[in-house]
Amino acid sequence: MPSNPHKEAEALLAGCVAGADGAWEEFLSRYGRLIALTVNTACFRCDGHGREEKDLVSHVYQKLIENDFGRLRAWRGESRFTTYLVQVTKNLSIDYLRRKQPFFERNHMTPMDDSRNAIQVPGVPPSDATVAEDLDRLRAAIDGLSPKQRLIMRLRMKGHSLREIAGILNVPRGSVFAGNSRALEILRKVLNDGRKNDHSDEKG
Amino acid sequence: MKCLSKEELILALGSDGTLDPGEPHVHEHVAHCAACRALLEEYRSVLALTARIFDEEVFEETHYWVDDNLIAGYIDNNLDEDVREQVERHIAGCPRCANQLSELAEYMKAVGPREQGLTFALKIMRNGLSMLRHPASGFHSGEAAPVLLGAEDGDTRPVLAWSQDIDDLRLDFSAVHVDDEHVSLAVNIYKLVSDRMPTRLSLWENGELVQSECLSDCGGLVLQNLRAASYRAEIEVNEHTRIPLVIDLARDEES
Ligand SMILES: [Zn+2]
Ligand SMILES: [Zn+2]
Repeated sequence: MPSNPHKEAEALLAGCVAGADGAWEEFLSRYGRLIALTVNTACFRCDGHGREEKDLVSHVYQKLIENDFGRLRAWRGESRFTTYLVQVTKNLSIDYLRRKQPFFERNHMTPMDDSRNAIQVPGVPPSDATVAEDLDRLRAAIDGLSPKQRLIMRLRMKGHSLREIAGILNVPRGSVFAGNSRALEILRKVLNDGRKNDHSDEKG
Repeated sequence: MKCLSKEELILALGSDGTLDPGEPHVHEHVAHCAACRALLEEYRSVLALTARIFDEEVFEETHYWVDDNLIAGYIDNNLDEDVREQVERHIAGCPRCANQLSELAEYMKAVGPREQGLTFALKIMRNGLSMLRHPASGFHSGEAAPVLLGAEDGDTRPVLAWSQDIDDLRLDFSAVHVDDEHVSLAVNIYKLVSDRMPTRLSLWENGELVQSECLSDCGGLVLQNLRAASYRAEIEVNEHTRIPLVIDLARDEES
């Protein structure tokens, strides 16, 4: 029998909402592992140990069930059900962990922070005023990039490789390489031209 | 000496400003060419400043933002072209949604590829391996929750590892090989306090000794091709001290 995963998931959800016999058990056996893995990923990214895991799994189930499975019913079929489930479970987990652990956000949201701070631009350290001007110029230039280029830069700064970004944006690798190069070059030019102008202003 | 193209330089440049160690000719050239070095530094300041700009952006708590359906649909590449474009334009300018997209991509990578390769192991986990029981210390199943570690890019080998403390020993387990019928577990045993050093690990199945191996100098050992069965194990610390252990591998469909 040909099966349509969308329809199956929909039917299963409807069964859960209606309290049909065995529907919830079926849901658990089908998606329990994915939920556990997602929770596990969140915990692992949080403290590197997955210590909160047991409590968090029950918290997630509680939230999924509440309001007559409201969060699950909100799935509109624009994605696979499993992708949606990972997204919802991820956010429930992160919210929970963030409430529990004030420092979670730092670890979780900006995994690149430490390495970023390691970037040292040699030479005379620029004054605050110069940096502020550079930042203003760059901000404007970033706004002027194409959405795709800007998105590439954003994902890049989150630590994704160009190859991963090609997967996320679903475009050929070459186009991500090109977009990344072009964006960086545009930003470099803007920065350089701005600095040069500053210089000639001072002289003139 | 021919200079590097900008593309070459940029491609070798990580978002953290480091040069890809896999591109030795770039390293070599930059080390000897002041012009390319200067260019590299310019790109680096662009990256550092851009990172700062994105970091300093404030999430607006209330704004139209792409909801879970659209983020998931975007990742699955399942949106209508016009919707996809709208979503992309929004995400490109919205730190909050960009963060959601980035996270979901990472999570899918973390949970996705393992679904296949780890089926057996995870089934094992649900019922059984979840429990490496140590009868002597009243060990409870939940305490040895297996921890999934990130596999390297392109490495399809399942990586599954967890730790358990028994008396003053720490046992690190990791599944090094999983197929439809077997799982091989690497075991590393460290002593936490005392100077007792474990020497041997033995394994019985249905009362029959199936494996008995000396631990390596660093306390390591691989238990090859365990089946979905219950094993009794014993860690020999010295002539007088043996620590019993149960390794319970059960497939849940057989329950
Ligand atoms: Zn050069
Ligand atoms: Zn947004």
